[in-house]
Amino acid sequence: MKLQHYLGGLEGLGPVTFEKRVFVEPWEKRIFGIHVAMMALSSQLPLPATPSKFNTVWTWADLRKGAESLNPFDYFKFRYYEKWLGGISGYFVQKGYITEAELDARTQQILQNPSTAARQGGDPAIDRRVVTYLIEGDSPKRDSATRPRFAVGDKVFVKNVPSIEHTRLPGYLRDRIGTVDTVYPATYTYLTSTGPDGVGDAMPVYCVRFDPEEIWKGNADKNVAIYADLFEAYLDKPN
Amino acid sequence: MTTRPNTSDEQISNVGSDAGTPGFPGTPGFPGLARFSRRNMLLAASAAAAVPGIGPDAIEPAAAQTQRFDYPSDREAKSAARALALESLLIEKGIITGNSVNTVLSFFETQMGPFNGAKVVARAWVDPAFKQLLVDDTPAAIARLDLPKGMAGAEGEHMRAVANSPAVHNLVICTLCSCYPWPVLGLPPYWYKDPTFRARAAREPRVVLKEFGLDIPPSIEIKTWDSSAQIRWFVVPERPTGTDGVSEAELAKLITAEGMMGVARV
Repeated sequence: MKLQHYLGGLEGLGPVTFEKRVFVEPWEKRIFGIHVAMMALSSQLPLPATPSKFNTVWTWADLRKGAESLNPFDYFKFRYYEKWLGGISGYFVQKGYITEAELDARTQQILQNPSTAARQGGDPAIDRRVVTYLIEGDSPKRDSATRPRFAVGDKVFVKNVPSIEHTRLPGYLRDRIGTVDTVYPATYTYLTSTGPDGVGDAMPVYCVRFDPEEIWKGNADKNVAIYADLFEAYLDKPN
Repeated sequence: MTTRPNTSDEQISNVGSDAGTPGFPGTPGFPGLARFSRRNMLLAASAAAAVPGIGPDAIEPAAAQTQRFDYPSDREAKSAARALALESLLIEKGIITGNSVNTVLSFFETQMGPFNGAKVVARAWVDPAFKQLLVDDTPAAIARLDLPKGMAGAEGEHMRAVANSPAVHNLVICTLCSCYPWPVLGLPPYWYKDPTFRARAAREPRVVLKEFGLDIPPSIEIKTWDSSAQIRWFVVPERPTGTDGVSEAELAKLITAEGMMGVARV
């Protein structure tokens, strides 16, 4: 069990921060841009090859796994893009693109003399692919003969699947009963297989409505409905 | 906390047994973030000794716990240098170019942002048939407008709009991460990604909205949409009163990202 999977409904937290900026430090823009470039150059996308030396897979699933594998206290301690910086630099080290030592050395060099960071050059085809990815996206929709198991109005029971590394099932919905509000057309893959958690291959997805009063009895706002998009592998018929 | 500090060292890293994720703070890759000095240990020990019920045996773990939530004074400088160091190494090694990051940032400044969503909502305000189509078949409605290329692109492959009404207020959240409809809204603001917002908005959206300055009376149903699969949600807020005769272009200027996520009125 990972606390990160169970954020929804967590009590005892303080007031929310209504900070409207996307980036609260200038460096956060750099790591965001690196992430999008990695997404665009990721080897599984059906886009034209480029001279980029990036030849592995990087998707949201990889970024999310990094955050979900953090010690939960660190998860709350570090800001959003601090987690990205840790996860992304860790990935490049782990995959052998760079070494920890050269990253440390370059960091120290920049701390002593920021102007040493500037680097130019590279093949423009790489950046053309980045823009192509942003424009075309990466739809998980797949045509399939699979018939959805549930219909609008059906009651569904949310399984408590064994999520280990990564999941798309919010913790607060596990073992709860909801009502199918929408059956999305066709089927949808997930970016990676989550193993025993159950998603990855194309399958139907549903929008399911829940009553917060049943989830957090006597402790939820009234006159509220909460909806979640759930892969079919997470759902069962109620007993 | 199973690792006992080795007090023969002035600086000790890896405070917890769990500090082993490559590249993350608290690992050797982030020198300084999770370290503590003997001097700080002694200060923490004397503080702990003054608290009834905390004996000498508890001193070291207590200090380690306290240190976990300390931030070094050079936190931002180190992160900034590390981000730049990573970018420069990736350019040198031919993974990205010297323009890649700026290409991405410029795309979000000019092509994908809340300025697109504002045009979508403004059209819905002046054209009821378009509003109905927007709710029934969001991509088809958006495709009718003259917007930049990429309205079904990254993080907008499957978008769905929900409309506020006098009886219903919609709120979009993502409790697992930060799913957000990039083509129409751009990048998520900080509040949306904040774990406190994500945790609390699921259980007590009315209370959270009030903290944001939006008072939704108990008689209005709140529908909260948790983005946990392929759909990226956004809200069509209600058209403000007193805007009869205002042009579509002028209406678009009133519409904010916060309004299209359901945490503010327009």
